Amino acid sequence: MDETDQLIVRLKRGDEAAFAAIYGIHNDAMVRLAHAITANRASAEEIAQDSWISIIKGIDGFEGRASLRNWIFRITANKARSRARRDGRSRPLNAAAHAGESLGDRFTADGSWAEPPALWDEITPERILAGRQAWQQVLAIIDDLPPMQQAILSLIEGGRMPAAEIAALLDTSAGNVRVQLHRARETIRDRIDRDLSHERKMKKDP
Amino acid sequence: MLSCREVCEQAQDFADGRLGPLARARIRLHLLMCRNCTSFVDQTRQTGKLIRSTLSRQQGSKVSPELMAAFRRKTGDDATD
Ligand SMILES: [Zn+2]
Repeated sequence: MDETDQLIVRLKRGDEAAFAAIYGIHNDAMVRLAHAITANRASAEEIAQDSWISIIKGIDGFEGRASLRNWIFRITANKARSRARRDGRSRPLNAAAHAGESLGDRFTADGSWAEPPALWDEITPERILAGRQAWQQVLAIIDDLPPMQQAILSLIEGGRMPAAEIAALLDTSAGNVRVQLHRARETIRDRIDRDLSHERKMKKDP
Repeated sequence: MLSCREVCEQAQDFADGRLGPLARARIRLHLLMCRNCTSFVDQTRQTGKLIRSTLSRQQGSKVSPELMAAFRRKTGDDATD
């Protein structure tokens, strides 16, 4: 019996710590997934709560043939989709884009650097942002991303879910999931780079 | 010889270990000679780490009392079956 099987057994027995653990692991990604499907942050919170109610009700019937994680996110995606239909929102998926697009105008026509990146190695982001807590800054950047990218980032980087499973949840292709993931990470790298250069300038001439 | 732009377009796949041996070798060769792309690839790696540590901090939100009550009710019902 692996760790997840044990968690399921404990859930079925009514173990509150097990429920709290599963909730903690998945809730943020569930909200972001519902947000991506409904394009509405407030209803996304409700959908996640509503999904948990269904999960609680259905846990006895869950036999672990699918993974628990997959089952949880499928419930969330289905609820979000019917909510979006009810609200008359059918959200167009982000058009598939070329992965290099987000690198923008940092390069000249022949592909060499026009605007070289700053060196991060001596002053790591953790160190320079320590006063303001790097993670809060990164979280603010993530919360600014298009909802689809937030969901993908959260499921892949936070939940280690394979791109193909995410694609099925979001009704898109695995290729598009990877493109959106690349864009999200590149946006975050670029924002941190700008913040760091700004901070360095302030240090030089305050 | 890869251009800087081509190297940076593949930086994430390189950092994720998703490239084949030949593509990897071509990037390594470029990085040996290019400080800017070395910085870029390093930024890409550090960004990945920051994203993962940020999202794992997000994993810890607390169950609302209402939801925990619903869980308790459900499993309590089962016990009396
Ligand atoms: Zn280069």
